[in-house]
Formats: sequence, structure tokens, C-alpha cells
Amino acid sequence: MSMKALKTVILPKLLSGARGGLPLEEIGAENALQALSLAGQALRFERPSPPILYEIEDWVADPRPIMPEPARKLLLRLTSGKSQPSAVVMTAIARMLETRNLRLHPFDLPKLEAFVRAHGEQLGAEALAFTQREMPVSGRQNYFAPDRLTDDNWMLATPAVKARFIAERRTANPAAARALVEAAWSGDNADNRLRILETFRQNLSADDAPFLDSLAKDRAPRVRDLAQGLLARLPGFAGDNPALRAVLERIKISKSGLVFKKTSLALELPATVQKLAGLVWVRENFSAIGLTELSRSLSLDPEELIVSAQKDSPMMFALFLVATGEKRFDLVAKIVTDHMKDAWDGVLAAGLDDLAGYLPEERVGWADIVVQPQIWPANTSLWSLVRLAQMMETPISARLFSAILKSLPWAELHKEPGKLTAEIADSMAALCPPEMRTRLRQEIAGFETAKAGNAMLFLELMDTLEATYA
Amino acid sequence: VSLSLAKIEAMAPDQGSLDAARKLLKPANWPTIAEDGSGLLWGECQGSGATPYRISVTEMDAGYKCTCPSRKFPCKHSLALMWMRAEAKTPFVVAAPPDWVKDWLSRRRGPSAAPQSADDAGKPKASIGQTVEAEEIIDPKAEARAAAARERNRKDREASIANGLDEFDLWISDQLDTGIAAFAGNAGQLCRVMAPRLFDAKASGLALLVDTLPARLFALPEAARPLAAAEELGQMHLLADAYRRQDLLPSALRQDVRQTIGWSMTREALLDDPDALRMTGSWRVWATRVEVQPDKLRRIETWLLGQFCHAVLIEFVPVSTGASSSGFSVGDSFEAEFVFYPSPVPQRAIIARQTTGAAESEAPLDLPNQDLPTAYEAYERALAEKPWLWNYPLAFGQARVRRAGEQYYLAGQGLSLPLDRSQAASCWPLLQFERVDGIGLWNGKTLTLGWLETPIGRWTA
Repeated sequence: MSMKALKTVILPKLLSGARGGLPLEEIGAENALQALSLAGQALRFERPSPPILYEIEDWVADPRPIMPEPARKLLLRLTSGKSQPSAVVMTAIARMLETRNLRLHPFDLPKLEAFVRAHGEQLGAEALAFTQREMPVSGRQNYFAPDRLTDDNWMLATPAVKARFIAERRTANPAAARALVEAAWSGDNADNRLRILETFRQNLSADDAPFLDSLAKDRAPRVRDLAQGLLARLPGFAGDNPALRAVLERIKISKSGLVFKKTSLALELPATVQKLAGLVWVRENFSAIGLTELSRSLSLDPEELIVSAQKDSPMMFALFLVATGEKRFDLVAKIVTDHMKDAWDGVLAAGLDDLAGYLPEERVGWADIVVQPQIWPANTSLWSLVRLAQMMETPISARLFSAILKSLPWAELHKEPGKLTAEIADSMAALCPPEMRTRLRQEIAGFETAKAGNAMLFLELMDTLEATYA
Repeated sequence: VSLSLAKIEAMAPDQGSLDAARKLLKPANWPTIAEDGSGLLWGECQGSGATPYRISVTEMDAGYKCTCPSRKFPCKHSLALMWMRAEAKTPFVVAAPPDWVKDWLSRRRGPSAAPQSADDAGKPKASIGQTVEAEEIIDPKAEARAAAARERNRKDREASIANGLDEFDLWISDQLDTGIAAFAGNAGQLCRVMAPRLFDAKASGLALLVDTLPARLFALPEAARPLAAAEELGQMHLLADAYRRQDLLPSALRQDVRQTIGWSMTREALLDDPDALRMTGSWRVWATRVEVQPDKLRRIETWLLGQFCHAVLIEFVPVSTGASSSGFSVGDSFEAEFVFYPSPVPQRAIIARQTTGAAESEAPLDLPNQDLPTAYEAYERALAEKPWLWNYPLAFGQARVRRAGEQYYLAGQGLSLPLDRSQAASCWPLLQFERVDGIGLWNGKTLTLGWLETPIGRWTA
């Protein structure tokens, strides 16, 4: 009997069928079952064959330090619990790791795969490489994490970082930012081009017109539309602006008064729009309208627009959205203070869930003006905090957070703890500025662990991460 | 302290149990909270009934017992008592254990069914034996009748198994006639026919092997299934044949064959066996595995590394009880005497006597100084001793995780072992290391890594 005979003579017949008999004499077996056992043992003693070629691993060296062990344990505890933390909490963790220039422990990447996939760009080169481990090399996104982004290397960064860099450059030097974008424009995909073009809302001027004009032939319709919308906002724009034309058809202008004629504006919603969906219609139609173009078309300066719209709440909300889009916080404040204290309710009803092009500090400033917890009646749903956390993606100011804790609906929560949901607790934790964490812990300590447990863990994790290299 | 909040969380059957336990943390709910000073805790918790529920917990292995009617295991009362202990905020009165605690301890089958005093520390069986003898009045005639009945049942079962094995041989012969390649493609349906017959014939061990064969085959790439089927069916026939000739086999092999076919050996019988292999020393948990079997039992394996050998503790618990994890955590270390089930390759053991509580240790695993081929040679020697060897621990040094396409390998000194596909994602970070030392389970086809020492610390599955 030999291994060779077992494998070359017996095994093929065992596999294909032994009805015709087996050459048992070749291996000295007494019957087919014995031959099967011998063949089975021969296979078991066969050592596994190595692959023809191993991959050459081009390991990504991530210069960030690994997050400290106590924070690592907290993160694993948070994510491996029986109730999963909300997305706002995970977004805040990713942001904190990025800010602190820390990376996840490599061994945790598989355990936190959903988190890593959602925030790969922020979590560093190694995390991004992990999410792309099964992609062919040609399809992988490069990760570039220099110590400092400059005008020479910004194009190598991830899309979010690139957009943020250009947004910051637009604030300081719009012309230089535009020159950088123009030089690198054709090399990016449509999503990235759109993301970068969004930053042109900041300090938009006539100098941007030639570049925006050139985008009329862009390959992506979304980019062409945005460029057209930006062009329409420029003073002296003479072209057609269908979005503006559409809303002007809906704005009714009337004059009243004997000596000093006062202009009044009213927005007539289409008859097909249900009452409850009215603000959604306003958002969909006014979010692309610039303040300057609207002002010019109605021959009223921005302050006059607000005064003229004071008797028509849809029109006032439209102006609120236009001012928000243009980051005119002076006008937003005027509208909220003088005419629409419940503007935040309108934001929720209109489904505005993104402050496009806003920097984190601008979002905080906007929320400070718009969100007015001191006027919330006791039966206000705290689900609005979940929406606020989604919009902010950053902690709010201590002043606003403190106002929420003093609000009537929050006080009601202590009387009826069953109303607290895990999402609300998580959102409060994500919105909580560092100096208010102790206070928030005291506030939610009495609630059920199933609802407030993740929020407590998150606050502890934030403290631990902030203490790193503090 | 062996009880930690993380361990309690892992043991809790669901979040609701933890929430309910939290509400019981107030000492006012507990007329009694006490300990014996060496890891035995007990308490009485006032529930809705007239009498409080009685809870006993052993810290060493997180064993527990409660008199409440809950069908969750552990129940909220047991969790709450462990929780109070782990938090160390509530004082435990040191006292002698009451009878109901002693009673539970003496009847317990777990590792902490340990001696109650230093006098009988070396004789763990004594307390069990004495308790039984003290309570039972033995009638010699009844005993003889029971013994005769047991013998009759044994003979009936032997005959039933023999018939089942003959039927099994016929079934394999049928598969050989049509070809193993065809069998591999239709294994699910074919095994569903044979496995119940073997269960009926009381060859439950072999029946389970047949029942789970399709799952093992379908875990492999399609091209590898026919050869794997030939290998497994060949082993099963060898096992059946060995059972028929068991009288000719050496004792350890004979007992292994009988256990693999389906005969069980009680804990008491094993502890009484003077020939059973006993190993005393320090043990370290390097892996825990949980698997639900087709017979609705959850098989919980705890793999340990001792100074000279490996051991696996295996518990079977009904799925319906909710208990889903080992009482030990990976990294736990403790001193104990293990008794091994007889086998030419002793692996499965029970704890006869545990002398220290299981404490989590950050120390590296004390791995034997051998490379991967040397570890594999040990496996081959074991395979020669026991041809139906399934999982075998390979402890290795100086190896490296590599990949070819989507398949990951553990490679070292010319040997490459494919890693289990379920570990592909968790093995990815290991590709960066030039060298890893560690331990894993080799099932003859794939290696499942359990514990690795790497340049950036411990990796566990």
C-alpha cells in the first residue's frame, strides 16, 4: 500500500462512484469501506499546500499615536453594548480622534468596522486602508495626512479635509483659494468638485464670475446647477435664473399708506401644496436663492425685505432661509428676535437638516441665535434635540446648553423619566460642551441605564480623550 | 477579585436583566448579604413573595444559584449580588455559610464544588460522597435490582448501537456506489436521513458528527468539498469499526472511542477513576468558543494552557436557558487540579479542585518555545494516536500572517496553514508584523487563531 496508490488509483474511483468495484489489491484493503478509511487518513496527513504567491503588503504607516488604553476600553464598551450608540455620538468620537490626532488601535478596526466605514476619512490612513482592504489596488483612495496642509499639498488630502481647507482659505483670501481650485479642478470627481464649489458661498464676489462661467460646461449637472446658482447671486448678473423667476412669481407685492407708501410682501404657496408641507416647499424653493439677487429683484434692501414680510410668516421664513444660506447672522438674529421666535420650529417642520458650507463655529453661532429653549412649552417634544445634534455635528455653546437644561420640557423629563429615549440622551451628550459635562452627568444619572448608559460612557470617553496630551 | 462589571455584562442574558438587577442594588432590598471570606457569596433578596429569594454565588468561576422562578440565567438577583460585589460599595458580612448555601455547593457539578474546610482540601469527592451517604438509606436488594436494570439497559444500548453502526456502514457503502463527489453536493439531504437513525440507535456522538457534516463541508470552497467528504466519511467508518473492535484497543483509546460514539462519562466516574490523568498547576484561558448544536444544546468551550499541556473545559447548556458564555474570560489565570477524560490525546478535562480565583492577567501567555512546523509535527503525532482528532491547539513562535487573494495564512519556516475565513477581517491588522507568537485551533483544514503576542500587544479572537 502506498499513499500514491491511494490518491491516484482509489480516490478518483471513490469520488466518481465505486459501483464497478475498486482495485483493492493495489492497496491491500479488504473492502471499499476500509479503502475509504485509508484514503481519508491519507488525506488527513497531507500537509496544506502553500499559495503560489503571497501578496506584497504595502502597509500604510499611520503616524498618529494609538488612542490611550483607558479610552480604547471605553470605546469598545460603548460599541459592544447591547444597545448601539446613536450616529451623532459616533460622529463626535471620530471628530475628537481627528482633532486630537489619535488613531484607533489596529486590533479594534474589525470590531468597529461599521464606525470605521462611516468615518474612515477622519480616522486616519490605517483605518481608510482597512475599509479598502478588499478593493483592487487601482480603486483605493490615497490617504495623505501631513502635519500641516499647505497650498502645495492640499490636493492630496481626503475630500472632507480638502473642502475644509478651501473653506478656510476662502475666508482669508478668496482669490488665492479660487486659484488653487482652478489649478486642480479637472482632476477631481463630481462629488468632490461639488463639495469644493459649495465653499464658494463664502466671500462670493464678481472676481469669481469667470471661473463660475467656465463651469457651465462641467460634466456634472449638479456642479453646473450650483455654479449657475452662485453666478446668479453676483451683483449685476444679467443671465436667466429660473429658480429666482419661479419664486418671484409667487411673491405678491402690495403698497399701503397715504403719505409713506409701505411695501408688503406675501408668499402665495401653490394650491397643490398641503398646509403642513408649506415650509418644506419654501425650503425647497428658497434655499438656492441669494439675498442680493432677491433684494435686487424686489428693489428692497435686506432690512426693508424683512419689514415688508412681517405680516406673512411663509415669506418671513423664506427670508430666514435666505439669510441662513448667506450666513447673514445679523439678519437671522433680527428675524428671530423681532418676528419669528419660533424659527427653530420652522426649521424642523421644513426639514432643514444641513447647514451646507458652515464651519463648526458658524453652526454654533447660528444655533445660539435660532434655538430658543426658554420659550419652549412644557409639552415640546425633545426629539428636536436629536435633529439639532445631527445639524450641529459639534458641541453647542455652554449658554445654549444651559438654556436647554433649564427649559420646561427638560424639567418635565425628570417628572416622567419614561419619556427619555436613548437617542435623546445620546444627542444631549453629543451637544454637550466640555465645561457642561459634569452638569449633564448629574442630570441623566437618575435615568435608566438602558437609555442614559451610552451617553454616560460617551461623556467619560470624551473626558479621557481630551486629557490625552492636554 | 474575579468578578468584574465587564464579566457581569458578558454573563447577562439581556439588557433587561441588567436593568432589573440595577434596581436591586439598594442594600435595603437585601436582608442578608454575606460571604465566607474565600469567594463564596450569598444573599437573600426580598421579592414580591412572602419569603426572600436565596442567592449563592462563587467568585472563582462566577457560579450562581437563585431560588427565584425566573427562566433567565443568571437571573436579576444573581446579577445584582455579583454587581454589588464587583462594585465593592456594599459591605458583605463575613460569616459561616448557612445550610442552604452548603447544600447548593455540595450538589454543584461546577468547579467550585470544592472542599469546605482545609482538612478535606485534598479530597474534593469526600464532601459529595458523605452528603449522599448521610441522606440515603441503602437497600441492598433495591440496589441489586437497580444494578441489574442498569446492566440490562447497557446491553440493550450496546446492541442498539451495533445495529446502528451496521446501518451506518450500509449508508456509507451506498454513498460510495454513487460517488463521494455526488454526496458532497447533496450532503444536507443525505445526512438528514442518517443522523436521526443514529440518534435512535443511541449513538448520539456519531449522530452529531453526521448531522453537522454538511455545515462543515459547506464552510469550505466548493472544489474542496468532495475530498473533505471522503476524509470525514473515512474517519467515521474508522470510528465505527474501532467501536466494534473496542475490546482489542488499549484502554485510553477504547474509552475515547466509546465517548466519541456517544457514551458519556459522569463527573463522579471521572473523579473516581484512579487511572485518569491529573494535572495540577497554573492555567490560563486563551480562548472561549460557543456553538449551538443541532440538538439545541449550546456547547461552551474554554481552552486553557497549563505549564505542560493544553486542556479544554466543555459545558453543554440548553439554548432555552439563555446562558451563552463561559464563566471564564480570555486572559483569566488560576491555580487548579484538572482531571482529563481518558484518551490517547487527552484534551477534555474537568476541574477537580480550584485553589485560587480566576483573575484577569495582563501578562503575556507563557508559550512553548517552538516554531510552526514543530507545533504541526506534534499535531501529526496526535493524529496518529487518535485518527478522529478534530480541534487541536497549535502553539507556535516566529510565524507571520500573510495573504494570497482573499485567503489569509499563518506562515512560518516553510509551512503555511490557511486561516479560518471568518477571521479574515480581524487578521488584517496582523499583516503588518514580521513576527507573531501565539496559539490557535487547527481542525485539519483551517487554523482559528486564539491568542497572539505581537509587537503592539496582545491580540485575541
